[in-house]
Amino acid sequence: MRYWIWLALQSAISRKGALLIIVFSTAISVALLLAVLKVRDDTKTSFTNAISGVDLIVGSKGSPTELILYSVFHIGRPTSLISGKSISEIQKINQVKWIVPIQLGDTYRSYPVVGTNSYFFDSIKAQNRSLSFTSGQAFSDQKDHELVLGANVAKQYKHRIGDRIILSHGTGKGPAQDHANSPFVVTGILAATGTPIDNSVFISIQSFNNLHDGSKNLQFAQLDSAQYTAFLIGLQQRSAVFSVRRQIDALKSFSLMAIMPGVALDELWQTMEIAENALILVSLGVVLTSIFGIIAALMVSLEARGREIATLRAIGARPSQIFFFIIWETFMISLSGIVFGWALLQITLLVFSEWFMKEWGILIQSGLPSQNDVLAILSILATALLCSTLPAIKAYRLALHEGLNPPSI
Amino acid sequence: MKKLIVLGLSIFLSGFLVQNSLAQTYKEIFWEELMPPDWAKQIEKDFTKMKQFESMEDSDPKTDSLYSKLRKQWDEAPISKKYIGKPIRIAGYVVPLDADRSKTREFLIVPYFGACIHTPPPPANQIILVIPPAGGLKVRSMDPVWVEGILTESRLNSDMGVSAYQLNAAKIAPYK
Amino acid sequence: MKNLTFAWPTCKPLFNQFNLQIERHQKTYIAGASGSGKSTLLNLLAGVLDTAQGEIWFNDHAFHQLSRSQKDKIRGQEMGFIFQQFNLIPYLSTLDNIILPLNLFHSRKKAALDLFESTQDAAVYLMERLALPIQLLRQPVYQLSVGQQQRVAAARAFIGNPKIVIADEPSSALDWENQAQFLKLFLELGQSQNITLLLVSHDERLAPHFDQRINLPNGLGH
Repeated sequence: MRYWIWLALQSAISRKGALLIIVFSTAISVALLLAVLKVRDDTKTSFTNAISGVDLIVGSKGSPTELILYSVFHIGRPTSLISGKSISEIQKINQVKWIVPIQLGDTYRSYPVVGTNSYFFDSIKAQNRSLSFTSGQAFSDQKDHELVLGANVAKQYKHRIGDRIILSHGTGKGPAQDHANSPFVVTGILAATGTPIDNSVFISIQSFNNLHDGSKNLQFAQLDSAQYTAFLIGLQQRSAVFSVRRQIDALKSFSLMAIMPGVALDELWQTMEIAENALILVSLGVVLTSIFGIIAALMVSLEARGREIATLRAIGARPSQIFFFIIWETFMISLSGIVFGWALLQITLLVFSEWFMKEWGILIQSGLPSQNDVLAILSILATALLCSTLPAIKAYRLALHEGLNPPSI
Repeated sequence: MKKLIVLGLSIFLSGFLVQNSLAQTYKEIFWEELMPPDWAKQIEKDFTKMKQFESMEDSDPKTDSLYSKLRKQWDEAPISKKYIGKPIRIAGYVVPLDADRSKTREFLIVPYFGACIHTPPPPANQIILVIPPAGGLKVRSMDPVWVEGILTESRLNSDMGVSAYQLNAAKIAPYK
Repeated sequence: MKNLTFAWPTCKPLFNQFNLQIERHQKTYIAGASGSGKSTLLNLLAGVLDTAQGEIWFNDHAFHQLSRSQKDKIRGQEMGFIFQQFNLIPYLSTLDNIILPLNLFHSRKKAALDLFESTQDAAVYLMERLALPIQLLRQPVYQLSVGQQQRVAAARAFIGNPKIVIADEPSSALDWENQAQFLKLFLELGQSQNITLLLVSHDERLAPHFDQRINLPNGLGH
């Protein structure tokens, strides 16, 4: 059996020109499928948990998906701003327990900066657990230039309490407009939560405002004269959420929209799943096409290999051995394609993962194949082997019927 | 003497068994039962009143005010004490609260599909806040589920005294 | 002495109650032009074709009763073939082509290793006997001349001491000088190793060198 493996290898090498092209095409299709699977897995991780304990998110009227994407995940377009004047109106609603405003728009080395008040750290939960600090504490609402780091940001740049940090205006993509004259001091570092909070940087509303409009020099009490991206609202009784939502939507002088974060997230997931499934189907189609390419190449090569098979028969090879000879060749080609495809993907990831993180806020890492990856690879291999029975049977028949001396072409 | 012992034992055993079965069986209830009967009657009356205004335009301020009055009534709908403290079992549609995909995220259940999207939300006594057990169930928006547990009342500490239904679920299962 | 007999093959209209007997350790010449049923005969001899009626005996093996894989095994272990078109594996070296039968069948390898230190030594010996330059050992066979290829095919047929070597028009692609040389080497090898030789050809000039001569019924032989 080992000899047949060596013989199949020699045979394939003699046809390496055409076979290399097929191996390469298989590699690309496999890399594509693995990439789609990986993006799906990694985005799932990024979007699985966001915040809990928040009953409503209020933003300007528009798309709920855009609002939750931007306000919670810091992805996508900035939404229109809402006026701080509405805060007092909302506080009048009986069932409202707390309201935390947030502002977005600045970045620290492409991590989003969130302007909020210190109530954020008391009210917001992640995965049903309250936020906690591994070191330091929240910024003071009255002081300027104090900053809290999410766990990942601190880890990536090895920050500690007391470090000085310059923030950038905008998304940090274009030529950065640094707020170089306003360095911030790290007062607290949050414990990891497994949510977008880990990738965020927090400053007080006062600081945020003064960054952008130093002339006003806002004081803490003057919340209502600022503008905000969204309000996070907690209720006295969670089941009153429909009622409060209606009341906020009905506030005539402000065009506000209140969304339920759980529902919005589920809708987001549903959309994502549809897109992902479509992508996976397409990738599977591409892989199948490559496999067909391998089979076609083998079928064609068999036309010209009648003599080779007859020779082997003359020396005493059994038709079943010829069958496995071809199956083994298909296996080698498919396996090479798969291995190259996986390697191609890893290289691409190494090169692009940082860009991906910056563009989309999603971490996609290279590494050992995941369970899903292995499953996909085994399925591809199994399909290739199944399809390879076609040329193998053809070879088997050739071996049976051609006899010792096939007619010379 | 023997007879007495047997009698005593059987009473004790039956009491024990009844107790056990009570603790384990959750009574299946229906959403209508969660509305106090006199409130339900009042709502019916208001609905008939509403029908009188059907012929009017939507933008008519009278319709508007009637509508908002109705909504306010629904938002402040009182709960029925009938099943408070009792183990119940009820089926409903999930309205998730937290932006979280864990098994233990809190959610509301409501009697009908699409309560947050297409149709107006239900009155307050047709909403139950469900606190899932430790090994809960991954649920998605609008999934139909069975929940089992002791129905409790959550009271707002305020002058209004609004109460809402809450259920610390012992079990959540998909509705088949 | 064992007898190689071939009796009554009756398949297709080609052979009707045909009897053929080939003597062991003898050189036999079968006369037949292409189309005279020669290929069918060879396929029957090799055990690749089955007969509907009749018996085929090879070395005390009843071919007509054996399964295909059993016959394949016997063919691999005990027969050697030299074809008109040489039938070498083009992407293998001279050495690998020659020792191919040894790699497929353990008993044949053993037979070669009984006489030689290694399979390579066995191949080299035959190359010397067939006047093949030793430099060709690791060259891919497609680079060899036609005459050299033929002798590589012969070496492959003879390696590992088969019971019979069957040559089918082995030299028709060569010019007369090469043919003569090949024939000489072929006969010498068979003689020295006491192997039954069977040559099928239409070229009458080769006939006198053989001990036995057989004509195919529909052929152009005498």
